[in-house]
Amino acid sequence: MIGGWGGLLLNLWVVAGIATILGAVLIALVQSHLLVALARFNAAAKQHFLWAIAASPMLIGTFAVLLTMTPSLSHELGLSADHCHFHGDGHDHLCWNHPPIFEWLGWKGFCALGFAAFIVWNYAREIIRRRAQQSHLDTLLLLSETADGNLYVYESDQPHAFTMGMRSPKVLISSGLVKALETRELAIVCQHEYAHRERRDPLRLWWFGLLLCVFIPAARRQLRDAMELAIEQLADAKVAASAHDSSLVARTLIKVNRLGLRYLKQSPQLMSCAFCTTAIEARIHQLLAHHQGRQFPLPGFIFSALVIFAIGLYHADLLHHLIEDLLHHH
Amino acid sequence: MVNLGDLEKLVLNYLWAHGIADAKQVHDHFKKSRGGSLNTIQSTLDRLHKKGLLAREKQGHAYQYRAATDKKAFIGALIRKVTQDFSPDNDQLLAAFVSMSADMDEAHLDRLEQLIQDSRQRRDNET
Repeated sequence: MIGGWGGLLLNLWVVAGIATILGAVLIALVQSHLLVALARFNAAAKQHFLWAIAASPMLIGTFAVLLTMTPSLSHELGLSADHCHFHGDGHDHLCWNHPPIFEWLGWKGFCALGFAAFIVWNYAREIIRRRAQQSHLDTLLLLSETADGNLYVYESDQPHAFTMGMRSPKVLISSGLVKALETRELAIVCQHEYAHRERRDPLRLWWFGLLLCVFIPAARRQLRDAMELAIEQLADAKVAASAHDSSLVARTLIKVNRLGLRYLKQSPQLMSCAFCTTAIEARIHQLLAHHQGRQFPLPGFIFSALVIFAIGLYHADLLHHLIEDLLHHH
Repeated sequence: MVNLGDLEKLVLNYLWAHGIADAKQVHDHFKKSRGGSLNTIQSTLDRLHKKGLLAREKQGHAYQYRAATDKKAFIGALIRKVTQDFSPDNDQLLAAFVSMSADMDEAHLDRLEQLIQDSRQRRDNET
């Protein structure tokens, strides 16, 4: 058993964990509709929304903790009477004036340890993964040729180009792809990858993956695909703007895909190697479209967040009692 | 895919470029740029041999080393490792220009190419 601040924090940790899981389930239920609605927006706006969706479960968890503590907070600030006086004598409290006892033996202890293990496991796995990939990148760079440190050409017939690395992303392209492309096409591929490098997209994907760890696998995959598509579309749009010819970018995209497909057909042992399942059709349609979609509605977004916050605060007492009952009567 | 140290990568790359060499030749090549002793090079070559990346043949008192794997095959395996086999749920930490998908075929690409041509033609007609 733990009392005092330790007991309070552990109880709040359980509240945050449960609210985060409920938030992830809720979003997974509606995310297909959300992703369909995102089609109306441009790639940059899609990215903003996807970050908001991915961060929602953790924000919901944090918000639940804040609302749980709101009665104590408002009393401390002199905005309301001591909430604890409204309780009968037999009622347990969940506030810092009367910190609750936390019992390890029971469902709360199980949840607290489970949430902690889940977070540590996911973050440790991602860090190990990041280190291993950096080691592979170092090997690839050493085996590649570079003229100016911007573009690394590695020896391979497989037509492929990508940007990799967290702190200092590098652009790599296979010698097979360099040989197969004309000068203008090669410039488009390189500019596309330089756009990824400038925006540090590999690092973005890593952070995004960390946020997604609380989602169920199917929802995680769907959100990740949507983010990968938005990232690719942003890089495509940047190249199209600088090349002043979006159809040339689209044709290059088709050509590189065709080369990749032919290579895979010649090397059946590699058929399972699908580099990036980003929807090419959506990228082509975006490049050919007259209008790139709606902008991110920042004022509306902030207003909606404030409204949700205000509704939450208004019902804070109700939520506080609900959570007290849940924690102390089960 | 085996993990390689810095010197191991350099030695392997040297042997891919030069074909066959003994420890002394490898040491002569690296002593100016990296320093280090002949023993270090010998143990590096031995480690690479044990990892299956180098083949060796004894000629006189010294071993002659050569790369046991093709450079392209090694790089191909490395690329596959970083792009696909890396995590169980296939998450990637790279941004790739190539966007192969499982259901992609030539006919699909032909249709998209036709779409691009039509769009270009429409724009030309408009201007």
